[in-house]
Amino acid sequence: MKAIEAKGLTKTYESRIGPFSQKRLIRALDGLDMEAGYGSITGLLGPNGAGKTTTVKILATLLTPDSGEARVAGFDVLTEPDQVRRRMGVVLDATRGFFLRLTGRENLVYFGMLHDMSREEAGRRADRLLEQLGLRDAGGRQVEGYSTGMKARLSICRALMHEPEVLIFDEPTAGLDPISAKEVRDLLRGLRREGVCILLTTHNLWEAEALCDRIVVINRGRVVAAGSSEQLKATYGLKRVVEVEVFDGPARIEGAEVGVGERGNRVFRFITEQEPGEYIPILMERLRGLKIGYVKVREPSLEDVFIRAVGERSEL
Amino acid sequence: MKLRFNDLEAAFWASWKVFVGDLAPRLWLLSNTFWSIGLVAMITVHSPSLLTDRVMVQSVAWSAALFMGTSSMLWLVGHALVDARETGLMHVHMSSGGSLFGFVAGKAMVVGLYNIVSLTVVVVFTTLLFGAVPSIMNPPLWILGFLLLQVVSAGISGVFATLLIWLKRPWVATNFMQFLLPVSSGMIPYTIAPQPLKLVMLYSPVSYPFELLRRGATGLELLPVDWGELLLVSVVATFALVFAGALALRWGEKKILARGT
Amino acid sequence: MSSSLSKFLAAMEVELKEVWRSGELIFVFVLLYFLQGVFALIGLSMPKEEDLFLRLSGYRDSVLYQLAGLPVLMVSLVFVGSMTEYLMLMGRRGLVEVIATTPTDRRIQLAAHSTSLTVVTVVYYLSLTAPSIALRSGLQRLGNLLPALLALALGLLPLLFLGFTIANIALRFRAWAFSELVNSLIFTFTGILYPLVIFPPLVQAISRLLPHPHVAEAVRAAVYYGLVAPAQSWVLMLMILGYGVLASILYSSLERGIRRRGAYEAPVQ
Repeated sequence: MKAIEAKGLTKTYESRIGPFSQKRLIRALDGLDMEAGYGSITGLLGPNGAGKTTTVKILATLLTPDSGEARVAGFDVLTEPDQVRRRMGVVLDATRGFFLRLTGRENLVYFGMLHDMSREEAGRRADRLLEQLGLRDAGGRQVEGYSTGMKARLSICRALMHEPEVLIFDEPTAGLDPISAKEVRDLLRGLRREGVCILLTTHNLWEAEALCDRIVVINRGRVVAAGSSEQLKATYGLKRVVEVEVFDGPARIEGAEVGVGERGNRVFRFITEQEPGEYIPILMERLRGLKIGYVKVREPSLEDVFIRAVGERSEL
Repeated sequence: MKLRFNDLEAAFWASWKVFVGDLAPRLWLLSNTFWSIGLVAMITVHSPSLLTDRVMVQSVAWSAALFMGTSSMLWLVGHALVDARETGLMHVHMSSGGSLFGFVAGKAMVVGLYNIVSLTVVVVFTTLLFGAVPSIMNPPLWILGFLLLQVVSAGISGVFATLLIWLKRPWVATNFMQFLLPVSSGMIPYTIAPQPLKLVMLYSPVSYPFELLRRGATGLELLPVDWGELLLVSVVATFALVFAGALALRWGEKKILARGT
Repeated sequence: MSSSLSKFLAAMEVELKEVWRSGELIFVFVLLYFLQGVFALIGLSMPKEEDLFLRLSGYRDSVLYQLAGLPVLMVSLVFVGSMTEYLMLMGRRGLVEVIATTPTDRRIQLAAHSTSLTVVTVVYYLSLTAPSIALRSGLQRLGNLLPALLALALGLLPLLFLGFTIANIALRFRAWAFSELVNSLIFTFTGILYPLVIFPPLVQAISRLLPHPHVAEAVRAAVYYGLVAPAQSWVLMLMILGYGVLASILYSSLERGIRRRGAYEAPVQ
């Protein structure tokens, strides 16, 4: 059984600027299909307005789709929302959703109790999570005085209080300093090892590539590409680019694109699928006798995939 | 930050667009009318025969309108900087060289225009409901009173706005002020007010333009001042309060730059 | 302890802690005292026509009449306004959304908020209204305050249900001004501060469909005479039932609407 399954989801919003203006219909989802398994991290990418937040809200039982179905942890989000909520943790806005005059611990205990935990159980769990996320000392202070990073970590604690099987995150490391962001990523990897299904949306493509087993790119309410990072790069035929800065060399070299490098000098760009260890020596032999400034290898990136994918629809 | 005409114009048009596009001002036309009817009933029920005196009904209706008008200014203009700070607009405005006076004055102009419509609607319907016919005895005087009252309220709200941004709970101060200001300025007719209140009313800058408006509308002379003094004090108070508002906002700008908010 | 009850108690604890730690309670009380003072000042300043007032209202002493009704007005305005502001604030803070992702009915949170408002109301009544009435009408009427408090307590439920319904409608249509409109109608057309007979018969008939005139009448009768008429109690019971059912039906429909639109947050106005 998949942890998250969505089939044919559609959602249209009505938009009206001012009470007497004409209604506009905005099709946020247009037949979206996606899935995510237990013990994996799935990244949901897409340009602004693609439908990521709408998808996430439907899965989080905050929004009802116009048509289609979605199941989380085996339960239907429309007909069995409470069962879904018992098994799912959600962080949609990491810095909001707290009682500001309650302490961090009090907030966690309260939300734990809303998830059917007893006060004692919630208290124990809160202490553990605060320790784990580096908030042990801050746990006794009112949330009003927390920094953005602290609130973000507290949101993660809140989502983990009831030990969910599925976690949905909207930009999990936004607003965090590099050390905290790394800690969160390590935490997510740990949860994945424990078998939790994690779905996250992010604009940080480096993070998506580093963290996600599977990436789903959506655009205009539909999935336009899905697969692992390597699979997606291969699908789009993206190759390595080796850039060589040459001083006083020839105007052209066969098989290379000519351009201007970062230092303003002429560069030649070679495309290859070979590993750098294999390719560079061959290239250097070919370019023997030329005065070379630098050699740079640029790997195809998720950014390249993203740009290609949102410009076209492609199914894996 | 110098006041530029651009600031004022930009602030006016931004406030206007928001106001016109929003549902709330339309609903307020209704709610202000109902509040006004309620206030008139609440005041006159102690002497029910007042309800048969059409001039008194109009006079009390204008008292209720005074309350509505000053309330609008205090909540909409008085809270302009607090709201702008919350939405981040204040910092954007200041960092582009805009003056707070222009920002607040633009908003005050929109609220003043809205009040002209709103308070007229309020008084007309209130008066009609209690069986009187709305009338204006002296239109030029009434218009002058109305305009000066808006400007005076705007000046006070400008000073108020500067003070509110330093308060942790601005809503508390506004709740007090929205009663203090009208009650001290003629909402209770001078002739029946207790002695201490009479003294306060004689020194309140809002009393005079309001008296001007009420005399223009009803012909009733409640405040014991002659015409010359009434006009002079109304005009001087208006200029003084606009100046005070501008000074306060300038001071507020300097403080914000020095301390942040 | 049942799960819902323990969640309700936890929510109450959260509400009371938030209110207490905000330090705003003292300001709310000062404000209420101030407003009572303003109303009293207006009442005391106006010339009196006791016989005419008696013929219109059936009661003597127009100032006492208003003082007796004032708690009902304050409570109902607070219920509507505060409930709406609470939902708006909860929405802006992201709390409505977060609570919606838990398997806990949002009504428990709202019920806890309402109950904490009720506690505040009782404290306000005992600390302010009671002394005001005692000052105005003498100590002999102090004994009537207990039946008046009971009448108020009974009348709180339909006022709560109505406030709850209005707040949800305001959230559904994302219009804070809607609840203000309702408050202006409550202030004006429910006969709390003055007898309804001054309005046309149609207005009076519509008003009597609301709980406010009945609650105000029950409290007033208790203040003046020390008892609540049995007929009045039955009317209040009917109101509790009627408005409870209405609130329940509307709530389900409103929740569905909010989930359909994903509108957990109302814009700032």
